[in-house]
Amino acid sequence: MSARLPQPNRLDHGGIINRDRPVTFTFDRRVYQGFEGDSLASALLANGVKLFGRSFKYHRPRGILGAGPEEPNALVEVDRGPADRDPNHRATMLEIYEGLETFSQNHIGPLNMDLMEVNDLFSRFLPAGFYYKTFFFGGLQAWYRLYEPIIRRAAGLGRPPLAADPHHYDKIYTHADTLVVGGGIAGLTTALSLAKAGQSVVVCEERDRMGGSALWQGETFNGETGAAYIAHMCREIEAAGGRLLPRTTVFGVYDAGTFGAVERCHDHLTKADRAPHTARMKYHRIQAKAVVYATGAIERSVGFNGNDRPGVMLASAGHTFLGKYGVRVGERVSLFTTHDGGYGTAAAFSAAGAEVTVLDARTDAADVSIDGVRVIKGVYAGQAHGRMGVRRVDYDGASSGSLDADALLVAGGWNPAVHLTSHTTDRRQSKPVYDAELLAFVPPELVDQEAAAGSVTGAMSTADCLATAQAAGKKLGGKKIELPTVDQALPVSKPMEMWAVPGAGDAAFLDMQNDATVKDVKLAAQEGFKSVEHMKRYTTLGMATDQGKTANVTGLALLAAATGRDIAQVGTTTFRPPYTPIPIGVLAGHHRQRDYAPFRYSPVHAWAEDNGATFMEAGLWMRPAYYTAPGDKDWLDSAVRETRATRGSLGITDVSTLGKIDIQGPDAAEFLNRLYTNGWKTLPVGKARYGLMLREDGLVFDDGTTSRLGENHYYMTTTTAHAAAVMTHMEFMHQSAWPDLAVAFASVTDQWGALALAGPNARACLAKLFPEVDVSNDGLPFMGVIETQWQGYTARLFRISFSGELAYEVAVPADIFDAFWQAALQAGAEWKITPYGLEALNIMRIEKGHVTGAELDGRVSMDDVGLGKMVSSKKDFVGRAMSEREAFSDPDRAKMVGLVAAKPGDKIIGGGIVFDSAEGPFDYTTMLGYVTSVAQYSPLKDRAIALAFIKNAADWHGKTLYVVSHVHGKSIMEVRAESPHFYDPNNEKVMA
Amino acid sequence: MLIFCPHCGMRPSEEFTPKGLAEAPRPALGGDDRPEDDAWQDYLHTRTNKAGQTNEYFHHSLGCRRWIVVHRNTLTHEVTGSTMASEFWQNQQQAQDWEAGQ
Repeated sequence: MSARLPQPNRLDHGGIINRDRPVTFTFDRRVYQGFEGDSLASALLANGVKLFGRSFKYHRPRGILGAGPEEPNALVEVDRGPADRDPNHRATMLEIYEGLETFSQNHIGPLNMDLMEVNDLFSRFLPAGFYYKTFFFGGLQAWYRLYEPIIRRAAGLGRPPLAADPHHYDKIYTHADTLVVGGGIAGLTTALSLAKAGQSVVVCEERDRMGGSALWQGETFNGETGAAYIAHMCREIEAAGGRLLPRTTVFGVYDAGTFGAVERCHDHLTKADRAPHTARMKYHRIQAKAVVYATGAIERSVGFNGNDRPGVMLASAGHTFLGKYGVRVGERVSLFTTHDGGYGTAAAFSAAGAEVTVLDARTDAADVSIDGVRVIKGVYAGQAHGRMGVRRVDYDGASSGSLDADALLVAGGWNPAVHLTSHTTDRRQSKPVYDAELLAFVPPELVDQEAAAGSVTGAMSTADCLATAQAAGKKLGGKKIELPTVDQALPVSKPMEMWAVPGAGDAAFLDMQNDATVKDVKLAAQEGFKSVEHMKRYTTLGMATDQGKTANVTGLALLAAATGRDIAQVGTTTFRPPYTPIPIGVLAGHHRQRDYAPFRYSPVHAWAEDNGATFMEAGLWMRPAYYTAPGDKDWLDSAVRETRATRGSLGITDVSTLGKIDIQGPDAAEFLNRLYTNGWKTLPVGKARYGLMLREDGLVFDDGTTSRLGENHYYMTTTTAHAAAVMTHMEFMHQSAWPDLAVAFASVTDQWGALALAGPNARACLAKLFPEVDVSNDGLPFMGVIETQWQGYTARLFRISFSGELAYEVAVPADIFDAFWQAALQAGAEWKITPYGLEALNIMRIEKGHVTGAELDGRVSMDDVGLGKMVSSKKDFVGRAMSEREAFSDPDRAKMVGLVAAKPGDKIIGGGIVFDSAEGPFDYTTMLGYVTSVAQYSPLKDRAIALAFIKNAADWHGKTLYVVSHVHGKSIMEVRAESPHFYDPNNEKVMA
Repeated sequence: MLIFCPHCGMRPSEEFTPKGLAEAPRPALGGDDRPEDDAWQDYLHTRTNKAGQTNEYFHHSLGCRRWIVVHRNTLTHEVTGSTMASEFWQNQQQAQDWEAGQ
């Protein structure tokens, strides 16, 4: 450990920091020291730092306002390298650790000489709605090119990291009978009551340890210090099975007892102290039967000029720095209060040796005598002076004067932290309720499974908070526990109503983060923005990272006054999750990149990789697009070579990715009959049949072959793309419509590997692989199926063809598929067996006029793709009724046609629009149809061919048409239409 | 949100895929139904989208792969229970028969 550095504002005793462990860190490259247990804010204040950043709009110097999650000003960047840089950490929540490097934000040049401060001089020209009014001129172009870049640069909220987040994040389901949000003394008391009754309880506390303000406020419990009493309670809760989660923020409340919480596991540790492979943060999805909101209260300021000066802070914040961290934020302290609570803070500062003057807004305040504290009644802080830190405070009211001060603490009353109670409309109304007595919003009426405890209810004294905790425990079935006697209790009272002091204007800030002032709210009201939601959007009050935790209530109270309404009438803006900012990464967890969408690989993927395959994604699958052989110039060259080799002799391709569904049961045939358009009852064992499925709306859904392997046993294949959808569809139809059918089915896509042998030598090759099987045209005719064995494993031989050649598909268990593939390559060597990819397959199936997903795009009917005859009129099937819709028999309906380029070398562009004239206009009034699939070179036609859908398709056969692509510079391509069955239209090859 | 699967018990909603309202059963097998028939229109197109108690198809797609009908109140988001899709329409029919008999 390095030498101890001086910390000028640190008292030599007090606080719950570990003085034995000094911690060295930097802020704007300067080295400072604090203690273990310090926040960045307390450590810097201990070192006399007052200036933490610059404000958003006017770039005014800003210090610390609060001591917790509500902090609007002191946002800093934590820098661990360019990929690991987080902006907008609240200095009050950031725990320091050895070597922490932090930077201030939102300034150009040094923090104390920000060049953008010139905005402050023009502040009267940047009132609410300034951007809306000004940047209206010049239109959108001017906004994008001129205004926005400047504003973006000027109105910075830190710099984003420049690379992917290097951390990882976990998601956890956490279950509990009761979730307690807030680990202050009220939350812990309720938790103890519930845990002792046998409930499983989880307590989430946003700060680094349980206990809240009881830890350091100086009150005693049954004669024990707060810290000792809290420690007892925590042990008891854990002994009763309760879970305590510090550094865990419950950020949102969702329907039916679901809560979102983020636990910060790493951000307070040095890199060396972080256990390897552990998550930086954990996203707890908490499911709880009941909830206790013990979220506390947030103090509010009062609008007066200069209330944003560094050194002006909430009284509770000043008290926290003193009590929790042993840091005295000033020696000459002015304390402006509207209630008795300010006197507790005044007494604490006086006891710590500060010279304290209380400015009490109330003329009728009871006399309080505290050693060394001067009290002036009936006055308010009118103006704080001192640009880089408070130097002087002017007060006004019953008397007026000026005080030298290096700190100004403001006690403007408390706003219960009702945010979470307003997140959901589940079971009850969500809006908080205004209590005119307390001058605060309190939670709405809660349902049976909810309770509130502590100062969130509006309770002010510790004793009252404990009483609400006991009541909350009782409501949720907890065991009664004895409440402690609270001694040395801090004074409390209801506040006097004072939201802004007389004369507060454009330097009286409400929302420090957005630089929204008292004057802005009045201006908004004057300009007709009377709804609180409109006022928020016009002035930006309550926006950005702090969501106006210190500003909202004051803003809407002033809006109420300016529009002559009650605060209750004005209401609050809607509170939405998250309560405080959370990184997107923690919500994503491990669902990123390939963990979100993993690749699926065929069993012969490695072989394909080793043999020159270039892959393409087909859904999650990686499929070989083409295999580059020596001498291939480009992908098309490879695909054409593969096509020629297959058509000329023998090709092999991997079809493992096709969906495969095993269907069994006495009603299996009936089930297929109802799924497919064509009939299945007559299909004999040992035969396959091509089938077409419709959606219930009559449009084509999917196609494939299904084979009958046994009396009650079928094997279905689907397209690769629709495999999952077909399975889901079958489950839906079976369960929702025909539960009486005795049929069961399971996806076996991953259990079987399959290859296709295609080409004139396919039979000879198959015969070599299965010498005992009769694969002659009689033994295994077209659409025949044989189940046999290969080296002791089941093998299924299907005589089906997608390429248009004599072809077989062979399926074997996935485990041995690689070995079988190698055997097939060996067997085919004498015919120069050639592996082909999707590109060659595409050429061949377009030549054959076979449809795929490009044609079956969810808009075509059976007739459109020329399969209208595949309907059994004797039965019901999915889509049957709707397939007879009038629109499907419209003669103008586009149907499939083949297109051939006018001359070799011409391209046809996929997705092009088809017209009957090269003259134009090329728009929807003259269009005939569109291109769906293109083979850029067909060896059969020695030029490009395509499949397209056009009106009156058959009438155009043999005629010239034009394909125009609007996205390719309107190039006009001349083509000739013909039947889509270019290759072997009478199936002589596949039947051979 | 949790959804009760009659087969698996309470499960997180992420395991389910919603399909839409279950408002009419698929018309019985006939063979010569016309697209304009009311029963088909209701099954395919009519969605009342009412505020209050609704029945919705969910697929336990990352679980047991059963289709279930979830009973949810769209005003309060409260899920009051669920039924296997395979039993749902049968139960509806029985309830109607029972009412008709009263």
